[in-house]
Amino acid sequence: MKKILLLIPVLIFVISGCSKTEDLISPYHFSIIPKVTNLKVDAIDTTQTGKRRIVMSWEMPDTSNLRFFEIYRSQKNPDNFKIIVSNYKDYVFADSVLPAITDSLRLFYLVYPIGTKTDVRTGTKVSFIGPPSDTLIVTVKKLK
Amino acid sequence: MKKFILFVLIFYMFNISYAQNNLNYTYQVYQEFRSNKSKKELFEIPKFNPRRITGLTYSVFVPGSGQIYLGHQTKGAAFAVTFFTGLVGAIVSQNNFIGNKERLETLQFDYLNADRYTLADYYWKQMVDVYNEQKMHERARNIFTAATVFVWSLNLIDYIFWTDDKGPIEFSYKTDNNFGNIFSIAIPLN
Repeated sequence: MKKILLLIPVLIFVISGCSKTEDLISPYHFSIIPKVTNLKVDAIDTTQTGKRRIVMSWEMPDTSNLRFFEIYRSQKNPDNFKIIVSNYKDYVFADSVLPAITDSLRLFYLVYPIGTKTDVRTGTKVSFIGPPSDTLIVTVKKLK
Repeated sequence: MKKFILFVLIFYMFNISYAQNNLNYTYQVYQEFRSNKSKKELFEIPKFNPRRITGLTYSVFVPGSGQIYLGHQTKGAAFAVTFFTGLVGAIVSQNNFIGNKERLETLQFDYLNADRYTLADYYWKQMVDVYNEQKMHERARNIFTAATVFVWSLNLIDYIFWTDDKGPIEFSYKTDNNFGNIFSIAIPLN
């Protein structure tokens, strides 16, 4: 009978020893730096040297943690995006170094805001690449 | 997972009801025992002798084994099967729970060290998925543990109040000219 009585606290100990699911940490990545908004084409024109040029602009809802922008371009979506400019601090960008145009050219642009976050291990400020903007699709026709 | 838990619960019920409704002497003895006794008498603890104490010890550590020891094979087997099914379920769920916990710790480390939004978001979505999975395993573990404890307790209650001793297994003693004295055991196969 003593064995039964001993087994009851053992069972209670085993059951209570099973840990509960710990709550998730609060997400930080949503609040570090906001997404670039209102990315649009302002003009598709020609430079003084006769090259085709795309002028685009965008907005940022909050610039408190903004360091600069990185602009990416691709001829295919969503793959093969390549950086065309980094450390860019303005909100208007003119792309005049376009790939060769045979008849018409379709280009895709993305703008990434770059901010900072505190590194969890060292406690120092490190660079953080923010969320990409919506893809801007531009079609450029060759001048005749 | 819900379907699996439902299946296990039905399996429990089926096993217990099979043991209770099996048309063998256990059921008949139980019915006679029940019909001949009042409610007060039904919960009276039978007098304990060394055999019953041995059987009780068996039942405490391996549910159903005490009943088998006293001659109630079907009922004992049903208790053993349901208990170990629940126990295995609880252990597997706890194992998955620990696996998810470790995975979550790794993902959290990667998430906190991510240097870009897309990567952090990828880890975050995985963390949420693993967290939900972990909650599910926690629930399963708790249900299986509760069911196991319930079966264990039911087994003891059944043993103490409603399991009568059918007597020890008979031994026979025979003298053989070639082999000398032979002891044999008679195993009931009903």
